[in-house]
Amino acid sequence: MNMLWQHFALWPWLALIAAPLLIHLFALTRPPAYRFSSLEFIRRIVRRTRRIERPQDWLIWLLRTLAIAAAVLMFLRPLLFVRGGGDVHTARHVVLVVDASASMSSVENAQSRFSSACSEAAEILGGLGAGDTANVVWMKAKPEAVFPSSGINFSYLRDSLRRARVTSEAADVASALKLGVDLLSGLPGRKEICILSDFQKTNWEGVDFKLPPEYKLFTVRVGASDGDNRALARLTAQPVEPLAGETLTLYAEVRNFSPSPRKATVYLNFDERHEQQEVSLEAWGQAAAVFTLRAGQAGSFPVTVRLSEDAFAGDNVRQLLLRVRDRLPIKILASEPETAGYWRRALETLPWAQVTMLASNQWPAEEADDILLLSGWDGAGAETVAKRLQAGRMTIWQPAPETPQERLAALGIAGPGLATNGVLSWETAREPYRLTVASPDDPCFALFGHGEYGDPAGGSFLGRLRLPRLDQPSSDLLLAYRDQVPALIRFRFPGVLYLWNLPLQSAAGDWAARPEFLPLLAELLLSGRTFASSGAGSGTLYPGQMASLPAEQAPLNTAFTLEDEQGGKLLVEARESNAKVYLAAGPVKETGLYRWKAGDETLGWSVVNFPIVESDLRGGAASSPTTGSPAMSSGREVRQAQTGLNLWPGLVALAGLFLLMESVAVWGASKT
Amino acid sequence: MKFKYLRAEDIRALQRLAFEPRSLVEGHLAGRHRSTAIGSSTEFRDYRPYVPGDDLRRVDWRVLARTDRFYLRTHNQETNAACHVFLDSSASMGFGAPASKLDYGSFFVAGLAYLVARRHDAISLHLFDDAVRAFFPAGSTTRHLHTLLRALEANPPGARTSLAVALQHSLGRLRRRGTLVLVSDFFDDAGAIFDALNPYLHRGFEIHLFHVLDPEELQLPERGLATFVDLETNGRVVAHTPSIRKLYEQAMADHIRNLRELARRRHVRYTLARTDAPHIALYDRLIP
Repeated sequence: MNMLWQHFALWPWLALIAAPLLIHLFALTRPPAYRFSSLEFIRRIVRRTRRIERPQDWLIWLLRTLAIAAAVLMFLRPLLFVRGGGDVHTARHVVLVVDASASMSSVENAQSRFSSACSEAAEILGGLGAGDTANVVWMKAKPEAVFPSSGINFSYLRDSLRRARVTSEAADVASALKLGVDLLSGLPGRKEICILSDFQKTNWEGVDFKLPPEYKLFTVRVGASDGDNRALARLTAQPVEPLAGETLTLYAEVRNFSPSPRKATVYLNFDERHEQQEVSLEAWGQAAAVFTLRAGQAGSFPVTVRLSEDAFAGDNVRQLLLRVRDRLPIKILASEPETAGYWRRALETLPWAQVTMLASNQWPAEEADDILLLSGWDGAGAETVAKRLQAGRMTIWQPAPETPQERLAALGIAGPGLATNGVLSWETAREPYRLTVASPDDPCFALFGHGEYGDPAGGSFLGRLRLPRLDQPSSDLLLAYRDQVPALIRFRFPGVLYLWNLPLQSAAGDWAARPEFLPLLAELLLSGRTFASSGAGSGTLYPGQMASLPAEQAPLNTAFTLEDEQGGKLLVEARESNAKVYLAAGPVKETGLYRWKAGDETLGWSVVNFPIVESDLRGGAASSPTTGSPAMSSGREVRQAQTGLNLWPGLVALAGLFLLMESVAVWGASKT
Repeated sequence: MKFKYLRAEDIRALQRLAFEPRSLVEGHLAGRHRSTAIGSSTEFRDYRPYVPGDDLRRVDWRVLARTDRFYLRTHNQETNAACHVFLDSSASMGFGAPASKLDYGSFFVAGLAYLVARRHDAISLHLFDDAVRAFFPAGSTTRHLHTLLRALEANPPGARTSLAVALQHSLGRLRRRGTLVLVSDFFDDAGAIFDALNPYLHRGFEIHLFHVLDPEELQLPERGLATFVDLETNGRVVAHTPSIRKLYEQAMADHIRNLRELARRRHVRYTLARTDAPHIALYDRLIP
């Protein structure tokens, strides 16, 4: 807190404060003498009234002193700076960072948080004077400023604030602050950044408000309540990309962002089907509505799930682009030709598999969504496979003998037996190695429950890789040799990796010739899709992002458009990247289903979903201890902190009040 | 001769008045006042039937001639009246300007002495404060009057008031019952005063209390914050006059009411004498 006295030269007047006290004391010590006949009655009265009069005297004296003090201070024209400030003569450069993210559309007291923020920002602008500059930064997915550099056209900024609309985007807080700092860098004078936001906990937790020392930070919180919101948080299908005619399960995750239990109805709209389910939600809890569907023909089909209406409507709809395949694309890298040949022959018998053989030096594209089978691969170039796994793809890897163990680590495989300098050695035995099922309840063994497809652990092996123990939380040991050496392990990343230690070469055992081989391989591929999230994010965007679509098949001389559900069109640009052509449009502003079109022909779909991070309307800390600037509740407070609060009108009122109270006290004293 | 407290205008005003005690008095000289003793005088009292042994000279022969019955005429015996005056001469009586309460009381006493002496009645005077400072036995001569008037002039305000002590000391000196006139501001314990008056009442004195008060004693003047100095004790009290004014007036009114009530119960005549009112009017209170 800081105080500036505009008429500092009048400070000596404050000595007048002592006047009532001096008069009081002087009058008490030397009152004029009055010779009176008898003091008998007076003494009695004085004795009786002293207890009442003394406090009254002191109260009257105090009130007079306060009245004079208020009057004198009024002439000193004080300016109060509640939080810092005090330098009113230096030009100020202010950047108003206004949160335009989706949570700001929440309505409280018939006004959205965004409207409140814009009003407060306009109030702050009103406090700027000649020589000051200002700018407004909209905090959203990609923050942007109204002016390229701070300007003096405040009326334009006010007009921008009046016309601005809240977005459905998530806020990029760090980028917005950085943009604010950049806009002010190099300017002389006072640099101030004022953030106007609801300081949503999910967005702001962990944000470091620390700015360079010459910057001053103000924060204004809008939105007092924690909100009452239900949201569709996630929509997933299992398998993610079903085959035509396959049954799939759709999970719609509903979250309750309120302190009370709630019920909600989830409506499904898929193809011609309309279903609904009611879910009960604990306070701050979540629940899932589960729908079982059957995929029809191959193609991309939008699935729309809606939630019963609530006050915050943006997150009540979620969409999914369900890609139904007619066949699974499978690519086999033939580093070890015999194994690759067994795989190919087996898979070619499956009607839903589309097998392609690759030479040992021919890697599929990183973004290709096919299943990769690596026979005799030594782990060289593990980064490519690791990226595919992180992208949700499925891979079956039979390591080559002498594969360095560190290459397993490069894929994200860990385990207590993994040595830094070790290799996977090949070992043989006179007595064949026998298998055992390590996880009988795993879905991949469900087919073998009745025995008609044989025993998945029935093979015998004369050689194998000496694999160390590789158990980790996200792994499942499916088959093991009886001496506990792993034979088949599934690692769950966003994608799925099967580590295959079941040699198929005829010299190493009889596994390739056994009847269990084909069904087990097919089950591994089919069940692995339920663990992999391949394709879950394909075509799914969030507001503020650029939409793009590969355009290899599209004729480049065609007019491309991206249409939203209402028929609104976005300009599309054809871009070339890595010798491939992409269609790009946006950034897309609103949630919904977007159709890529070439002329009248539909090229594909993009789904724009609400960013769930914006659904939790609870506010977090609007400041951090490092800044030392606590959050303010209004633009007026910021203005007062910047320009100071003129106290003289208050002091006039105060002096009047004290005089009134003094009159009452005097009147009361005379009455008593 | 000129006296300070008996001015020519006072004498003119007193001409129309006469000292007439309400109660009967007893005296050793035949005078102008009725006596409780039945005797020979010109003032008829009553008839009563003759009983053997009565003085035949007092038989009313006219009644005997008309009714043929013996009746005696009875007359009140006339005697000279005695008036005993106590004048409070304490320091508190010195309060008041331009004339103090003592001046006011002295004017009143001088006039009363003149009235009494003019009718050849006897008057005694006690000047007292916390003790009897001077006592002048009852007398009715002009010389006696002059003595009293000079004594009044040479009577400055003294020490503290103690009316009860003065009354107790003087009880033995007043052998003849008569009218007792107390002139004081009565800044004393009312109970003690009336306790001291009880023997006088018992002896049949007709008692008049003249409560002399200055207007400023009845209503405190606006003095703001002031140091009140006691005239009798020199004690000091600092008080804010506006704050205590009403309470003081109330306390003084209570005191007067108390004195009046005590007086009424004992058949004592109480008169409030404000110094801003002419003292001549007070003599009417002495007339029955």
